[in-house]
Amino acid sequence: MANSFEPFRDWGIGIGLRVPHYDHILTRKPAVDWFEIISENYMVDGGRPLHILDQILEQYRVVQHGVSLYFGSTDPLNRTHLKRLKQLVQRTKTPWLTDHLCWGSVDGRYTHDLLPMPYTFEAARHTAKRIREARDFLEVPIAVENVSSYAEFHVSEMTEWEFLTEVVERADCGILLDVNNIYVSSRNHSFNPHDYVDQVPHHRVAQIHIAGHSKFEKYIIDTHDHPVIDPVWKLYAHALERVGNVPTLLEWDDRIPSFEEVHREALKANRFLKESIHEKAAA
Amino acid sequence: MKKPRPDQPLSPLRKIQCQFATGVTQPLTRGDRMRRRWTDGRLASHVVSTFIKPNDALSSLERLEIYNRQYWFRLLDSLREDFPGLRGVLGERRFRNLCVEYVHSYPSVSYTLRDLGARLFQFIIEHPELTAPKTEMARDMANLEWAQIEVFDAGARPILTANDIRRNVAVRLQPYLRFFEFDHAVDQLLKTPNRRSLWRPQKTHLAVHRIDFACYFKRLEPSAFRILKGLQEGVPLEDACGLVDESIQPGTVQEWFQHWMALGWFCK
Repeated sequence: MANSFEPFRDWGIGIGLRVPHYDHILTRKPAVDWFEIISENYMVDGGRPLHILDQILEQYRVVQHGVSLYFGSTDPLNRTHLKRLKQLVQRTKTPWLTDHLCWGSVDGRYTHDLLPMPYTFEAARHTAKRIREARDFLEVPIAVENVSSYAEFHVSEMTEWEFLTEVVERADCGILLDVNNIYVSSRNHSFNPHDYVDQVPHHRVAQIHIAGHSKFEKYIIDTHDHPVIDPVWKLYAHALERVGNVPTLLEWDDRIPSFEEVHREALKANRFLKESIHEKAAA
Repeated sequence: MKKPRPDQPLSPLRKIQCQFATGVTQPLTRGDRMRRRWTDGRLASHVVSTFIKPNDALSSLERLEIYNRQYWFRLLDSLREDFPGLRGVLGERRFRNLCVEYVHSYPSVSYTLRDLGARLFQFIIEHPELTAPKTEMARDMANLEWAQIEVFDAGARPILTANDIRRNVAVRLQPYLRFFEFDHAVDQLLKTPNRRSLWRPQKTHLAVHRIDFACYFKRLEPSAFRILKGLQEGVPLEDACGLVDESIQPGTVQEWFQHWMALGWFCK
C-alpha cells in the first residue's frame, strides 16, 4: 500500500508555533517550512489567538496537532469538541491532523494528560473505531502519535509497537512517529527502541516528532524543555532510513528559548533528511 | 454524557481506565506524594499492583504516582497562572488549598485547560470557610480574573458605524464585553494585593474590555453601568437610558455613548 501521506513527504522541517515567538515570526518572517499548532489553543471564538493564526496562515503552511481527542477513552467522542475542531480545520485547511494514541477522560472528566493504553485487542478495536469516527466527521486524514509512558498494564497482550500497528491498520490511518517518545518509553520499560522503529508499518508514517526530555533518577519524563539528545538524533536517523523523508517537527513547550535557538535545533534534522535522500537515490 | 447503567458490567478497558483515573485524580499528600490508601480505604499499593506492572526501578504504585503528581502539578499550575490576583489575596498556601479542594469538587469537564477556572467563583461562594475572612474579596477577584480569560478570546462582531445608526440598525454590545458591580476595588487590588486600604469594601463598577486584542479594565459611573448592563441583557436603548440617575445631565450620557462608540463597543 502506498503512503497515503505521500504528497507531503517533501514538507521538510516544521516548528511548533508558540506564544513567545509570535512577534518574532510576524515581524521578521523567518523562512520556516511549516508550523504545527496545538489545535485546542485556537478552538476559540476570536481575540488574539485567531488574529495571530490568520496572519500566520497568510504566510506559512500550518498543520494541526491535538492533545485531547483521546482516541482510547471509553467515553463517547465529545461532539462539541469535534464541531469546534472541524471549524478550525476549515480555517487552517490543515492537510492532515494529528492527536495521540492514548486516553485521558472518564465519565466526561478530563485529566489533561496523555494516559497510557493497555495493549489489548479490545482496546485496539475500540480506539480504531473512534479514529474512524473522528476522521469521518472531520473529513481530514488523521495520524496518531505514540506517547511516552511510565506505566505498563498486566492485561497487555502485545508490545506497544504491535498495538500501534493493530490500531492504525484497523483505522486505516497514519502514524505520527515520535522518536523521542519511543526513546523515553524504551528507557522506562527496557526495550530496544530500534525494534520499535523497525516493526511499525513504515508506509503509514506521516510525520515525525523530535524533542528533548528530562532524566530523573529512576525514570525519564517527556518534558519538551531541552534540546534533542544524541541518542534521539540517532534514532531519528534510523527512522528515516526505514520510512524515507517525512515532515519532521521539533517540539519545545516549556522553558522556551528564543525563536532562533529553537529553529537552529530543528534545522539539525536537515542533516539526516538529506542523508536519507542520498541513500534513497543511491538505492 | 451517557454512562453505563449500574447493572451493566464494565468492559475491561473501561474498568482499567476508571481504576487508573481514580488513582491519578486523588489529592496528593502534604509532601506531594501519592496517598498510601485507596479511596475505599484499602492499601493503595495493593490495589495498584492488581493492574499496573512494577519494573526493576519502580513499584506499581510509584509508576502511577508519576501520573498522579503530573495531574495535580499541571492543574494547579494552570490555576496559578490564570488567577494571580486571587493568589495575591489569599497567599500561596490558602490559594493552593482552595485550588485542590476546587479541582477535587469540580474536576475539569472541558477538553481545554482554559476552562478549568470557570466554576471557581461559584465554588468560593459555596465554601466560604476556605477563603474567610476575605471571601467577598476572593469572590470578586475570581470573577474578574475569569472575565479576563473570557474577554481575551471571545468573539467580536463588526463595529457599528454612524451610517448604521442613521439606518436605524439595532444597537448591540460586543460579545466580548463584561460588566461588573464589585464590592471591592479589585482592578487596583490586582496590581497591589498587599495594599491594606484596598481590603475595605468599596463599590466598584467595571467594564472588562479589549483594545487591539489586549484586555483592559474601565471604571464606570453607576448609571453608565446600568445602561450597559441593561443593553447587554436586551433592554431597548430608550429604556436602558431611562436607568440613569436623575442627577446625570443628558450631555454626560451623550459623552459616554460617544466614548463607547470610539472604543468599538457597539456592534451590528
